[in-house]
Amino acid sequence: MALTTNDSCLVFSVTSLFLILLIAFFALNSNHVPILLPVINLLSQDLKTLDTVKEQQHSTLPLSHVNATIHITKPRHEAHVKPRKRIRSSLVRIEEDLAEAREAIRRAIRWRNFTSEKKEIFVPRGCVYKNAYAFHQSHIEMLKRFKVWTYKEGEPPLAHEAPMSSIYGIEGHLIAEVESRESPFSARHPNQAHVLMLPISVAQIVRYLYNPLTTYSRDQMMRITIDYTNIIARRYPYWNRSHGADHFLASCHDWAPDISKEKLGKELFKNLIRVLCNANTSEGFNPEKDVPMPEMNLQGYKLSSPIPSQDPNHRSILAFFAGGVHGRIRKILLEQWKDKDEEVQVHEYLPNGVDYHGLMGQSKFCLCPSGYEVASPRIVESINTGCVPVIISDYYQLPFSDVLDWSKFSLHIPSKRIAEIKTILKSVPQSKYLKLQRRVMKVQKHFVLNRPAKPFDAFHMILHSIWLRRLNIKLLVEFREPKLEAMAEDPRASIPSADNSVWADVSPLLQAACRDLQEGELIHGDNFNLFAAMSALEIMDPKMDSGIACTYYSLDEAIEDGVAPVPVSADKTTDVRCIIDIMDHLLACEATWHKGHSLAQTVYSCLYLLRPERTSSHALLHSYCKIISATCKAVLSVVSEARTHEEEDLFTMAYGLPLSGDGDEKCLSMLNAVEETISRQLRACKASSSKRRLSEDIEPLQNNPDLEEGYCKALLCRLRFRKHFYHLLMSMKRPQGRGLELARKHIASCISEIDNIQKSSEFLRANAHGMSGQNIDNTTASGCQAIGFDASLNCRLSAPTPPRAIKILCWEKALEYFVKLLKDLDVICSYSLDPSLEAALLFVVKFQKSQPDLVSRAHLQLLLVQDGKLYGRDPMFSMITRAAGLPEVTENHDIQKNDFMVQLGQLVINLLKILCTNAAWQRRKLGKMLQDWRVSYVQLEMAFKNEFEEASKTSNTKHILAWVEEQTYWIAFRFLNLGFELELYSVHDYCMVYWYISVVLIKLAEKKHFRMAISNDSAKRKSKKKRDSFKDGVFSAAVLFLQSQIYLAEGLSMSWVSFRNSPCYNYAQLCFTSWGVLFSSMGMFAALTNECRIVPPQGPFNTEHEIFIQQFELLQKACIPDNISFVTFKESTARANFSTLATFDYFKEAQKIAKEVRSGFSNDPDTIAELRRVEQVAERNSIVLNLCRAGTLDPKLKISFTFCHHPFYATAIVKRS
Amino acid sequence: MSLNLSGKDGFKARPSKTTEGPFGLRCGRKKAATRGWRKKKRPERGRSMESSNKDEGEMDFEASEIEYVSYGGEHHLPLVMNLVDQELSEPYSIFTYRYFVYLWPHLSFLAFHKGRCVGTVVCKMGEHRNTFRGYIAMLVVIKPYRGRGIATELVTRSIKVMMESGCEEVTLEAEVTNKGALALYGRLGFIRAKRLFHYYLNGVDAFRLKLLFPRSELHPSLPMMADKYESHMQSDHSDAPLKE
Repeated sequence: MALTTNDSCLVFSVTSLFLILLIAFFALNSNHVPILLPVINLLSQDLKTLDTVKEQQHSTLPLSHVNATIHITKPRHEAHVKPRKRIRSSLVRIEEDLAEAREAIRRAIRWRNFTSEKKEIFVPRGCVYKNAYAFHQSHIEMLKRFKVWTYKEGEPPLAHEAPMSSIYGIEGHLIAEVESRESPFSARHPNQAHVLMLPISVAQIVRYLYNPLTTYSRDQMMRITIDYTNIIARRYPYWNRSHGADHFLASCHDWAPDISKEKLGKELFKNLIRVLCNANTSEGFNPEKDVPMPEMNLQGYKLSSPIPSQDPNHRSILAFFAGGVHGRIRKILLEQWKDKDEEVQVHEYLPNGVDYHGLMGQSKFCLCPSGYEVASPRIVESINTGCVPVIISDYYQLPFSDVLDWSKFSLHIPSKRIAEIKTILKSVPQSKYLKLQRRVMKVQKHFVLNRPAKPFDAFHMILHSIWLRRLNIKLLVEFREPKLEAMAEDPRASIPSADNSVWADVSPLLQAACRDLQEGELIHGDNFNLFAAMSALEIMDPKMDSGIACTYYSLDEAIEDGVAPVPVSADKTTDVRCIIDIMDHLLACEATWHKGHSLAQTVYSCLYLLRPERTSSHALLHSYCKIISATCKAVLSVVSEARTHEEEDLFTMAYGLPLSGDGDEKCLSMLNAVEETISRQLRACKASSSKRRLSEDIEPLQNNPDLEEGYCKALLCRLRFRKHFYHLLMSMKRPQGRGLELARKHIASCISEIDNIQKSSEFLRANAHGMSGQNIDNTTASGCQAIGFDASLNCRLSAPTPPRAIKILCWEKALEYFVKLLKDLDVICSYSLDPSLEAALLFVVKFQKSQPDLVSRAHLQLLLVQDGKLYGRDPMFSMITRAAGLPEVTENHDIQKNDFMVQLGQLVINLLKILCTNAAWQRRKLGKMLQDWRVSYVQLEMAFKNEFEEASKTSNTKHILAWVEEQTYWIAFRFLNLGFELELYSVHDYCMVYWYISVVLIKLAEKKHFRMAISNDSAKRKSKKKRDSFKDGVFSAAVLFLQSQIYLAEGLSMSWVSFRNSPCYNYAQLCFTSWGVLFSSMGMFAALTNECRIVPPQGPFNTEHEIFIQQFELLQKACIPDNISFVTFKESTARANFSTLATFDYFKEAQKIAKEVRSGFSNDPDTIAELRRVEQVAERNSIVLNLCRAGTLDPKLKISFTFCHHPFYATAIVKRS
Repeated sequence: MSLNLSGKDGFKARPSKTTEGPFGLRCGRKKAATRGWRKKKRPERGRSMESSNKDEGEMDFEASEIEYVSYGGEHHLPLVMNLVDQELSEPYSIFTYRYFVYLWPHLSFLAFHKGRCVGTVVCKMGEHRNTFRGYIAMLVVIKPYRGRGIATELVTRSIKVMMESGCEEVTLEAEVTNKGALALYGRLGFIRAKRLFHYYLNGVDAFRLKLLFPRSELHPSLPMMADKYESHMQSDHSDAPLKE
C-alpha cells in the first residue's frame, strides 16, 4: 500500500523521507521487536534516530534525544498557584541544564571519553555496560546537576516512612536516602528540582491498611495515592505542568504497579515515573518511563554488600536454588529438579544451620526464578556471592538494564526450558563461564547498598535510572501572554523556524500512520525516490546492518578481553615474533587500503593503532604504529589533494580514526632511536662469538641467543623500509619537483629493504610456532596470524551501508604491490622536469599503460600541476604557446589576457589531471571534455576575429587555433582507444570503431600537419636555415590525406614517404604505421561483416544506426569531425570484401612500413616495442585474411579476436570447429 | 562440455560458470561518505543464454509451458521477493520492492512453470536528464530454468512496454564479469556506455548498458552550439537516484 500525502499541509523540512521511513520501520518493528528502551536510545548512537518518531514536538534540534515533549497546555487559575513567571523561568533554567547534560553525554559518546570537574575515582569501562562512555558521562552529569524534591505533605506511617528490612527493605532506604538533608541530590526548593518524589510507601499502606488481610482489592491503596496526588497537584503547579512526567513514586512492594491499574489511576499516573521492583512488562511496566529497582532481602537492617566466596575455578555446585514454591515457575522448577541432581541443587527451603549464602558462594550458577512476581532478591544475592545469575522469569525488566548489558554477566532461561537447565548450563564452556563470572564480580559494585549513598552504588544506580528517564523528556515552556494566545494555538508558532522552513507538528499524522500501516508498508511522498527506498536498512539483518556486533561491541571490550595486549607476550622472544607478524599484517592492510578499500577496515583494523597511547610503553611497537599512521596521513593528504580518487573515494574515508596528529617529525626520531638500538643489538650478537666484551652492556632483543641475529635483521629491514618510505613521501611533496632526486634514493633503499624483508621470511617461517605449511592467504612472512586485529570493530565507522567484505592481500601480493608502487613512483621521479606540453601528455599516457594504482597517480598529478603551472614552474600559457609553435615573442602578450585563453589554460590543466585518473573515469571525463575543447575553439576563433584582426597577428592566432583543434582530435583518439582498454566495444562494433578511429586519426594528422606547416612558415620567414625538405612533405601530405581515404594502402605508403623526410616527427611515423594496421583492421571487419562472418546483432528494438549514435554520441555532439555520420560510415565500408582486401593487402603494407620505420627509432625502445606489437598484429591478421580468402565459404571456420598483441588492434584467430 | 558457438556472438562464448547467479539491482551505498548517498546497483548476474551445458538439476520442459504474467498485485510480491532474495547475495528491504512494483506494476513480469514462479523482472522508468528512460532493476531466473530464453522473454516484455510508453532509451548496470547477462543484453541491442570502476560492494567493476530506441525525426549530427553548451552543463550535475 502506498499512501500519498500530496495534499497534506505538511512541510517536511529536513528529514521528510527519513521520518516516513521511520514510521514504517516503527510500525514494522513494534510487532515483534521488544520495545526499544528510551535509555538505549540515549546510550546507543545507532538507535538514536528512532526517537524522532516518537518525539511529539520538534524542538530546535531535529535529532535531539528527547523522547517526549510535554506541553504545558492549560493555564491554571487556582488560588494556590504560585506566580507563574517564576516557575517558568526556573523551568527554562532546568531545561537548559538538562540540555547541557544531554550535550555532554552525546559528546562523550562521540569522543569516547569523559569530561568531569572532579577527579574520577571509578571509570566504568567494558562490555558489561551498554555504552560505558554514555553511562559514565551521564553519571557525572547526574552527580553535578540532579536535584530531587520530596513533597512534605503526608504523615507517617503511610508517607515518609517505609520498611528498611526484609525483601521490601530497599523501599524504605530509598525514601529515607532521598529525603535525607545530607543527600547531595536534595533540592532546596521545588523550583530547582528536576524530579519530585511522591513519598508514599505502598509497602506501608499494605502493612497497615491490609492487616489482617481480608481483601485483595487495591481500592484503598489507590485511593490514598490518588488523593495524595490530587492534593499536591492543587497546591503546587508542578504536577500539572508535566502531568506527572517529572514525578516519581518508588515502591518495592509486589502490589505497587497496581496504583495505575484501574481507570482513575491509569489516567492520572500515565506519565508518572514508577520505580518498581515488580517490573513486569506484561503487567504494564513501561521500560521507557518506569524504573526497575533491584529487590534485596535486607536482614536486620544489614545493607547489601559482596560476600566473600569461593574462587570461580573451585566451585563445586553447578547450579543452586533454595526457596518456597511460590508461583508457577517455581512449581515447575521444584517438580523437575528438587533433590534430584547432585550438580543442580534445588531445595525447597534449606534445613536449619545450612549456610544459604555459603552454598551460593560455592555454586557456579544460581537459579533466580520468579516468585509470585517476577522480581527476586536472589539476583542481587547471587551477584554478591560471585555466582552467575540464571534468570528464569518471563517479562522481567532487569534492574539497571538501561545501562548494564545483562547478557554479559548472566544467563536467561525461559520458563519453557526449565527441564533443560542442566544441559544448557553444562554446555556453557568453562572459558565463557569464567568470563561471565569475572563480569559478575565487576558489576557487584552497582548492587552495593551504602548509607549514605556513594557514586555508582545501588542508590546512585536507581537515581541514575530516574535521571535518565527525566533526561529523555523535555518540558516545553510556553509564554502565554494574552496577545500571543492566538499564536500559541498554532503549533507552528511554538517552534522556532529558520531558513524559511516551516515546522509543523507531524505527530498526529505519524501516530495515525502507525495505526494504519502494516508491516513493510511505506508512505510515498512526492519526493520519495529509489534512493530513499534503498536507503532503508533492515536492522539486525547481517547482510544489511554493518552495525551488528560481531565479536565485540566496543574497542574497550576487545581490549579488556586481551585481544591486543601490550606487550604482546611476556616472553620477549614471542613478543618480537608477534610484533613482526603485526608489522607484516599492517603492510598487507596498507596495500589493501591503497587498492581502494576503506582505511577503517584495513590498516585501522589494528587495535594498537586505534588506541595509540596504549603502546607508549613498548618502544618498538609504538614507533612502528606511529610511523604507520603518519604514513597513512601523508598518503591520504596527497590523494585527497590530487582528487584523482573520484571513483575510488572509499580510500579517503577516514573519519573517526586517530590519524597521527602530533608532530610527524617525532615519529621519525622515535623510529630512528629504535632502529639504532636494534642495530646495536645486532652488532652485539654478531660480535658475541668473537669479542665477548662488547655485548655485556647491551641487553639483547630477546631471550634466545640463537635467534637474535635473525630477529634483529627481520626487524631492521621492516623498520628501515618504513623510514625510507616515509622519507620518500616527504621528498615527493616538495614543491616544483625539487625533492625528486632524493626521492629516487629512498625508492632504491625501499626496494632493497623489501628484498631483505622477503629474505627474512625463511627464517621467520622456520621459527613460527603452531603454523604448518604455507598458506597462500597468509598476510605475514611467518605464516602466523597477527595478533591485535579486528576488522569488524570498525564496521560501524563506515556510513550506514551494507557491510562490505574485505579480503586483505596476502603477504607476497602486498610486497608485490609495494614494489610496483615504488617502481611507478620511480618512473615519475625520473622524468624530466622540463618537458614540452606534448611530451608531458604523452608521458602520462605512457605511464598509465603500466596501470599504476591510485597512490602513484595522485603523486604524478600533484607534481604535474602545481599552482596552475606545469611542475609548478612554467605557466600554462607559455606551455601552450610553445606547444602551438608560436614565436617567442608572446610574453605579456594581449592574447594572454584574453578570457578564452585563460579558459584554455584551465582546459589544459584539467586535461592533465584527467589523464591521471583511472581509465574508466578518465574516458568519461575526456568524453565530456571534448565539447569544452570544441566550444573553446569556437570562442577563440570568434574572439580572435574581433579583437586581433586589425592587429594583424593572425598568424599567432592561427597557431593557437590549429593547436586547439589538434588537441581536440588527440583527446578524441584517446577517448576511443580507452574503450578497448575498458572492454566497452563488442565485436560487432569493432568495424565502426576502427572506422571512426581512422577518421579521427586522419584529422589528427591533418591538423598536426597544418600546424607544422604554419609554424614552419613563420619560422622560415625568420630564418631561412630551417629544413627545406619539409615544405614538400607538408604539401604532399595534405593531398595524400584525401587520397588515402580512397586508396588506403597507397595513401598510407605515400604519406609515410612524405613524412620520412621530417625526422622531427617521430610520433607521426609511428601513427602511420599503426594506421596501416588500423585501416586494415577496419577493412577486415568490414569484410568480415559483409561476408557474414560477423553478423551484426539485429536486436528486436533497434538497429546498427542507433548503436552508432550511442557509441559516438559525445564525438558527434562536439562535431568531431564535422559531417561524419552513420551514412558516411556505411558508404565507406559497404564495398569491403575479401577479394578487394586481396588487392590491397594492407596488413602486408603495414608490415613493410613498420620494418622501414624501425631503423629510425633505434634509440627509442618504447617505439620499437610498439612497432613490434603492430607488426605482430599485422602479420597474424594477414595470415587469417589469406585463410579466409582460401576458404571463403567454409562455414566451419570460426574467427575470434584477442587483444593479446596490442591493446587496441585486435588479433584475429581462426579455429576449425 | 560442448560449446555451442553458433550463437551470433559466439566469439566470446565460454563455458558458463555454474557460479553465476541471477542479476539484479545492487543497492550500493559505497560512496555515502563523501558525496551524500550515491546510488549503486546490485551486480547483475546472469547466465549466458547460448550455453547449452546442462546443470544437474536442469528441468526438462517445453518453452510453451512457461506462462508469463504481468505483476498482478500484493500476492505476487512475496514471489518476487523470494526469488530475488534466494538468488542474490545481497538483500533488499521490502521498501525497494514496493517502490518498483507499486509505481510500475506494468513493467514487472513473472514467469511461471506449472504454478511455480521461476523468473521475474522488475523495472522502472522516468525522466532522467531530459530523456525519458527505462531502467531494468532486477532480473532473475532460477537455476534449473536458465539458458532457455526465459530471461530474454521477460526483459523483452518489459522493454516493449517501455518503448510503447514513450521511453527513448533503457539502461541498467551489469557486472563486467557477468558474461551471460552481457551477452543477453548485447543481443537485444544494448551497448556498453561506460565502465564504472569498483562499482559493487565486492569491488568488481560494472558496465552501464544502454539501449537506444530508434528516433526517426531527429538526427544527431549538426547540433546547434547553444544546444551543446546546454547539454554540457546538464551533464555535469546528476540526479538523485541513478548517478553514474
